[in-house]
Amino acid sequence: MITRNVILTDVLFSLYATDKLKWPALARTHFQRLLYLCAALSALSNTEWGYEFSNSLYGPFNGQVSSAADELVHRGYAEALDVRVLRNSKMKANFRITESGRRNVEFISNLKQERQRLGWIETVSGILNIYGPAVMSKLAYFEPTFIRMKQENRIGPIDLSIEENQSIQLLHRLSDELKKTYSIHLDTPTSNLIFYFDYMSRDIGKGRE
Amino acid sequence: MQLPTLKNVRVEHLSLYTRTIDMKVHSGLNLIIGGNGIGKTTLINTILYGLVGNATYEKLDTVKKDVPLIDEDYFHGRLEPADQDLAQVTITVGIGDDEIIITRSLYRPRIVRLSHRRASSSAAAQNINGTPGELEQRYRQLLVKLLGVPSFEDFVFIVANLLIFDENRRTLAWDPEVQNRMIRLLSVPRQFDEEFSKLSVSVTQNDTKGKHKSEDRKRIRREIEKWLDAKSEKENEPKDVEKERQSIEKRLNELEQQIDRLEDAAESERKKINSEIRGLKELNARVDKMELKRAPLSEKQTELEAKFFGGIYSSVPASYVLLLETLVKSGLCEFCHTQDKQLRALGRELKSGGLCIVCRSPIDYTQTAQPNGKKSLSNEINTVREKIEELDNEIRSCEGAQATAKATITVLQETLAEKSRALRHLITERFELKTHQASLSSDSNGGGPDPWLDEQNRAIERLDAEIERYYRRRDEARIKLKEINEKILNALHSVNEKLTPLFSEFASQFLGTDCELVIAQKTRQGKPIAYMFPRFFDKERPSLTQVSESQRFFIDQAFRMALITWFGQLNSGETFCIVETPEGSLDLAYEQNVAKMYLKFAKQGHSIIATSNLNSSNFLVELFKHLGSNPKRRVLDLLAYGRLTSVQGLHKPDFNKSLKRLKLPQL
Amino acid sequence: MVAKPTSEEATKLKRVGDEPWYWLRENVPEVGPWEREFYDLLENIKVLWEQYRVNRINLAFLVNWSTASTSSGSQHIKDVSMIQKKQNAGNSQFIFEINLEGFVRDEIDMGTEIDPTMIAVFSQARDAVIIWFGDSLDILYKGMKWNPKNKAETLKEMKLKKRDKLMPLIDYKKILDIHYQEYIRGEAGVDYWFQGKKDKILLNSPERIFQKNLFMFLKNDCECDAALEPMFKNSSRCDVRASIDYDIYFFEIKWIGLCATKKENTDVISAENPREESIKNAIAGAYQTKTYIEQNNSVQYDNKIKMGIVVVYDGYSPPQTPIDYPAEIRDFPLLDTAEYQLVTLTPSALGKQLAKQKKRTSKKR
Repeated sequence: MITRNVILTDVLFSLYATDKLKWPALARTHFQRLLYLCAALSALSNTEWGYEFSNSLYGPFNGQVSSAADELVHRGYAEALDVRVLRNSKMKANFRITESGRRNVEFISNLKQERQRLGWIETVSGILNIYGPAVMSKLAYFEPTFIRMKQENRIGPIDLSIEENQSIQLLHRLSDELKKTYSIHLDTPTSNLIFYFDYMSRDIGKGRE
Repeated sequence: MQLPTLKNVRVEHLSLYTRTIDMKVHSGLNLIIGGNGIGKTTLINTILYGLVGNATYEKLDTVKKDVPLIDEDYFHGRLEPADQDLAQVTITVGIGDDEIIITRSLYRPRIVRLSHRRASSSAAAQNINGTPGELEQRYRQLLVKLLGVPSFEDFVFIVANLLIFDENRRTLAWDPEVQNRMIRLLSVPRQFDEEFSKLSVSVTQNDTKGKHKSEDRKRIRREIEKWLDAKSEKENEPKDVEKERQSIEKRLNELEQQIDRLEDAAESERKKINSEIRGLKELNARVDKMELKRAPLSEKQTELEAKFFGGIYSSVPASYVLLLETLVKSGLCEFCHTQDKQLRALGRELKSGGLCIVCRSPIDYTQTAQPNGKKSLSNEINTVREKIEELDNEIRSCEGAQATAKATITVLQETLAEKSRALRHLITERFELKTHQASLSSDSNGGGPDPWLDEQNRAIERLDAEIERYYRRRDEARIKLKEINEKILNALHSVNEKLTPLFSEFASQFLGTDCELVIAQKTRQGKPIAYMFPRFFDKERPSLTQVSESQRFFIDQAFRMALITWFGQLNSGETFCIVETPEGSLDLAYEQNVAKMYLKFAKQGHSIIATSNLNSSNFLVELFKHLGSNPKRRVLDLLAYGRLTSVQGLHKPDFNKSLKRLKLPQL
Repeated sequence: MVAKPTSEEATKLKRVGDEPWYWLRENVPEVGPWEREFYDLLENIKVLWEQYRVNRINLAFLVNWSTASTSSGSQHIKDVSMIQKKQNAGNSQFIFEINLEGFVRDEIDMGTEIDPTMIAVFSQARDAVIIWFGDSLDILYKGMKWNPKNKAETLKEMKLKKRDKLMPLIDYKKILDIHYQEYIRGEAGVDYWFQGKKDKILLNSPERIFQKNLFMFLKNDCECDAALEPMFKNSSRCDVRASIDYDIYFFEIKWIGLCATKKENTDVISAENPREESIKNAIAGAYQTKTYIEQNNSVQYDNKIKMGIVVVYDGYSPPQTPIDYPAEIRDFPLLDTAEYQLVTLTPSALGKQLAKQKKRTSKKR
C-alpha cells in the first residue's frame, strides 16, 4: 500500500474515532501522538504499522502525519479551527472531521484491512478516553522506547520492532509477574491496553482538582 | 558482433527520487545533472542493473575473480518499505533493428517482464513468459545471439570496462590485460579466439593427464621395489610365514567386511542426499510458481487500490475547481478578492494548458473526488489481498522448509565425506596387505614366475604408452597455439592501424597537439599480449604515472571513443556509453577543448550519457551551446526528482543561477 | 526467557494489581465483551464514592451487563443527591440496578434495610456483581468479596476522568509555588537536609535533588512535555526543559547556602567541610541562563524559547537577604526569577531572629 494513502487514512480515522468520543478538535501533536501510541502497541493486535516515527525535539514525529491533516482539509474531509500562523510559517490549528470525511471513513471501512486498522485506532482511543487528550499526549511522550532513545542521544527512526519495543517488553515482563503473583491473565488486546495505560499513568495528575 | 543502444530508461518507486523517471536516450549527448548525493550514480547503477542484472564478470585485478557488476543487495539500503514491492527499472535496448524491453524489480532481483520486437516483423513487441529464472536465461540467450558475443559474461565485461567510465576512473588505455581482452573480443575473428582457447585447454589437459599417469607409474615402480626388497630380506631370515599369512588373512577378512559396511552406508547417504535434493528442487519450483502467481496479483492489488484511493486522495479538490472557474469566468481570485482582466487571461491560459495555478505543473483537474461507490471494487480488493496473504503464508512456510532441507543436505554431505575418507583409508590398507600377502605367497612358490609382478609390469607398459600419447598431443597443440598467436597479434596490429587515426582525432582535439597510439608487446603468464598506449609531446607514455590526472581521464575517454567509433564503423551500428562527472577531472584551460571532443564524438550517432554536478564550470555551458534548439529534452535534471540536503537547500540560489545560465527551469 | 521486573516496576505493579477491575475480569465471565466499558464504570464509581460516603447512606449498585437503558429519563449514578434522597426516603431498602454507562435501570426493593451480608447473599443468588457503598467501598461477586492486599491505598488512588486539570505551563509561577508548597517546604516530598544538620546544611548535590523533583512534578501534574537536563542545539545544557505547542520554558535550578561534600577519593558524604553557594553564585547563574537563551533563540533554530526561569532554593537561615539581580537580568524579557525559602522556622523562632538582627544593626550604628 502506498504510504501516503495509509497515513492520510490513519489521520482521518483518528479524527473519526476521537470525534465519536466527543473529544475537542485535535491539534497536530494530538493525532501525532495518538497514532504513535497505536503504532507502538500495534504488536498487541498483530498489525504491521507500515510507517515510522522519528526521535524529534518535540516528541515522536512523522512529517507526513503532521501534514496529512492539511491535505484532508483541502479535500473537505476535515476542517481547521483556530488557525494561527506562527513565525517560521508554522501553522497551528485544531482539526475536526466533517460529514464528508465521515462518509469516506464508512466507505473505506469496506476494506477488511482498513476496517481492522480503524478498529485498532478506535480501541486505543476508546481506552485513552478515560484519561483525555492531555494525558494521552504525555503517555506518548513518555513512552519507554522513545524515552530510551532520548536518553541515549540517538537520532533517527524509532525502532518499534518487538525486540526493541520497550513498551512491549515491559508488558511481557509485567504480565508474567501478574500471572505468577496475582493470578491475573491479560489475554486480550483490550485488557493489555487497559493495564498498560493504567500502569503508565499512575502518577499523572493524582486527583488534582 | 555488435553492441547495443539504449533507447529508454524508466525508473519507478526508487525512494531516492520523488517521482518516476522516464528518460528517452537520444543519439549524441544526453545529460543527467544534479548536486552531490542527489542520486546520479544510483541512476547510472540502476541502468546498468537493468541491462545486466546481477551477472558477474571477470574483474582483471591482480587477483582474478568473478564479481557482479551490481550487487544483489545494492538496492536494499536504498528502498523504503513502502517502495520495496514496487521499485523497478525498465530498459529499452536496441540491437540493430531488434528491440528488447526488460523490466527488473529492484528489491528482489528478478526479471518482471521481458518483451522482444523482432526486426523481421512489423508486429508489436512479443511478451516472453516464464519464471524469473527462465526469463533470465532467455534474456541472456537473446542478447548473446543478437549481439554475437561469445558469452553473456563477455557482454558484461564490455559494459563494465568500455561502455561505462565511472567515478572510480579505472582506465582502459593503460591496462594491458583489460585492453587486450577487450580488443580481442571486438576485433579478433571469433574462430581464432575459440581455437586459441581450445588449444590452450588441450595443452593444459594433456600435460596434466601425462603428469598424473607418470605419478601412477612411479607408484607402481615403488611397490615393485618394496616387494623385491622384502623378498630378499625374507630369503635371509628364519621363516614363520604360516603364522603371518594367517594373521594377514584374518585382517583382510575384517577389512572386507568393514569396507562392505561403509560402502553400503555411503550409498545410503548418497540416496538420502539425492532425495533431499529432489525435495529441495520441488520446493524451489513451488516457490517459483507461487511467486509467479503472486506478481500479477500484487500488480492487480496496486491497480485496484490506486483506483479506490485515487478517487479519495488523488483527485483535485473541489475548492481548486471552483477557484479556477471563477478565475476563468470573471478574473476574480476568491482568496484575495483581486479582480482583473489579466487574471482572467491567466486563468484561461492555465486551464487550457492543463497547468496548476499554484506551481504550473501539469494537472488534470477534471478528476474531481468521486469515491468510487461500487462495493464490488472493495470486495475485489479484499479478495485479492486475501489471496496474496495466503500465497505469502505458503511461500514463508516453503522458505522455512527450504532452509531445513539445505541444512539437512549440508549435514548429510559432511557425513558422506567422512565415510568416504574412512573408506579410502581402509582400501589403502587392503591394497598394502594384499601386496604383502602376495610377497609371502611368492616365497612359497620357491622363486618361480610371479603373477603379481607380471601384472605390475604389464601395467607399467600400458602407462608408458599413454604418457607418450598425452605428451605428443600436448606438444602438437603447443605448435598450433604459436601459429594462432601470430595470427592474433597480426589482427591486433591491424586494429591499431585503424584505431590510431581515430584516437588521434579525439585526443588531439583535447590536448591541442598531435597524439598517436603506439602498440607494444608483452608476455603475461606465458601468453603474448599486445597493448596500446599514447604518445604526445614527443614522449611515449606507457604508464599512468607519466600523465596528469586530467590528461589521463580525457585520453582514456578519447581511447574509448576511438574504440567505439572504429567498432561502429566496422559493424555499421550505434551504441551508447556512460561517463560520470567528466568536469570533475577538468582543468579550466581545457574546458572548451573537452567540450569540442565530446561534441565531435556525439556527431557519430552514438549516445553519450554524461552526469554532471551543477558547479560553476563553463564545460556545461559550452556543451549546451551545441545541444540544438531544444536542449531541455536531452537533459534530465535530477534536482527536480531528488531531495536536496539542507546544505544544498542553502545554496538553492546558486543552483538556480547555474540552471539559468543553461536556460533550464529553476528549482 | 522473559526478564524479571525491576524492583521499581514491581512496586508500581502492586498498586495496579490490586485494582478491582483485574480481579473481576478474572472471575466474572460477563466482563469479556465489556472490558473497556466496565473499566470506565469502575473508575467513575471509585471517584463518586468519595462524594457518596459523606452522608453515610448505605447504597448498593447491581451491574447489568449492557449499555441499554430502560427509559430516557433514567437517572445516572453521578446524580449523587437524587439517588441518596431516594434511598433515604426508601429506608435504605433499594438495590439500584445500573447499566455499564451508569444509568439506573431499575430499583430492586429488598423489603428491609440493606446490609453487607444480605448483599453478599443476593450477589450469590443472582450471580451478579454488586457494589456496596458503606463505610468502605466493597465489590462482591457471587458472594466473593474483592479483597486486595492494600485496600485503603487502592481506594486512595483515585483517577479523575478527563484530566484537563493538569496545570498549564504558561502559569509557571503558580506551578513553582504549588510545587514548593507540596514537595519542598518542610521536606514535604523529598529530603534535602543532611542528617542532624536540619536547617543548616543541605545534602550533597542539592541542585540534583530539586531538579529531579521539579521534573517529576512537571511530568505528572503539568500539561507539558518535560525533559531532565536536555542538551540545547549548541551543546549547552539546561536543567529542566518543558514545552507545549512549540513553546519552550526551561528552568535553571540553583541553590544557595551550605551543603555537604564527598570526602576526597571516597564515597563518604560528610558535613565537616561544607561547600557554600552564595548569592553571587546565584546571580552568576542568572547570567549564564541569559546567555543560554541568547545563544539558543537565534533564527536558525526552530525552537522558540518562551521563557527561562532561574529558580533559587535558599538554604540560608531567615530572614532572607533578597537576591538583588542587576537591571540587565531583571529587564531581559525572556528571563524570570523565583526564590523559595528552605529553612522553616516557627513564628516565635523567626521573631527571635529578627530581634537579634535588629540589635546587631543598631549596635553597628
